[in-house]
Amino acid sequence: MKIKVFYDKDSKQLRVPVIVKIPHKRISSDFVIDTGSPHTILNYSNSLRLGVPHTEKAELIRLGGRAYQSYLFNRTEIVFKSEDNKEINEIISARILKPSSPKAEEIEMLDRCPNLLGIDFLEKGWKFFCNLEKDEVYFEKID
Amino acid sequence: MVSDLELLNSSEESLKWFQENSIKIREEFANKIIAIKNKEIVASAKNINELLIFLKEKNIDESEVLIEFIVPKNEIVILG
Repeated sequence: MKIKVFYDKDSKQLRVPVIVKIPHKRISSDFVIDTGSPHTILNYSNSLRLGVPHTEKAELIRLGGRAYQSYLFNRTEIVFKSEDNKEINEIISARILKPSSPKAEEIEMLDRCPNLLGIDFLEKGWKFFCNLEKDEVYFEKID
Repeated sequence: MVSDLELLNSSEESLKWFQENSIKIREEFANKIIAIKNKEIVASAKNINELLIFLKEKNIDESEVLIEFIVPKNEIVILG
């Protein structure tokens, strides 16, 4: 079972289209693959779209020279599409970065941050294959 | 309401279209947030709150659009 990842040659980012679901709400979105991030991050914009509560404090996360308080949301369901056109669902404890003040500059910074699919996704039993030259980039479930 | 699989297919098409057209989009919508649906930019704004208002005014279901921040062409994003 493979999930195709798309290489954006312009931004040089690897992205995967998804649906993010919480009980009673879903949104269309995409994640940037970031193996440098220990956790999966749901960006602030998407947390607003989903109406996710920012209540359970997690770690401070440094981004762009600033530290942001992160909030944990344990029931984030991410739906991927397999290469044979089937749905693949994973439940992830996503972190959400929230601005610490209503300053426009800080909100703008978090608006710019994409969703990040971190190492915790690979810990769920996925291997990651990446050959940019042949445009073969995918996740595959380890049997 | 469309099924999850239909929405995923639409999301994938939007992402591919965005990647194929990103150079032109970066020139036109630098520093804005855009909403893409059916290979078309259906709204753009300075921030997410403004974009969600625009989508509501246009009667577009915000759950079915792909939302992207547009980095200007002379900038790159390095995730910390």
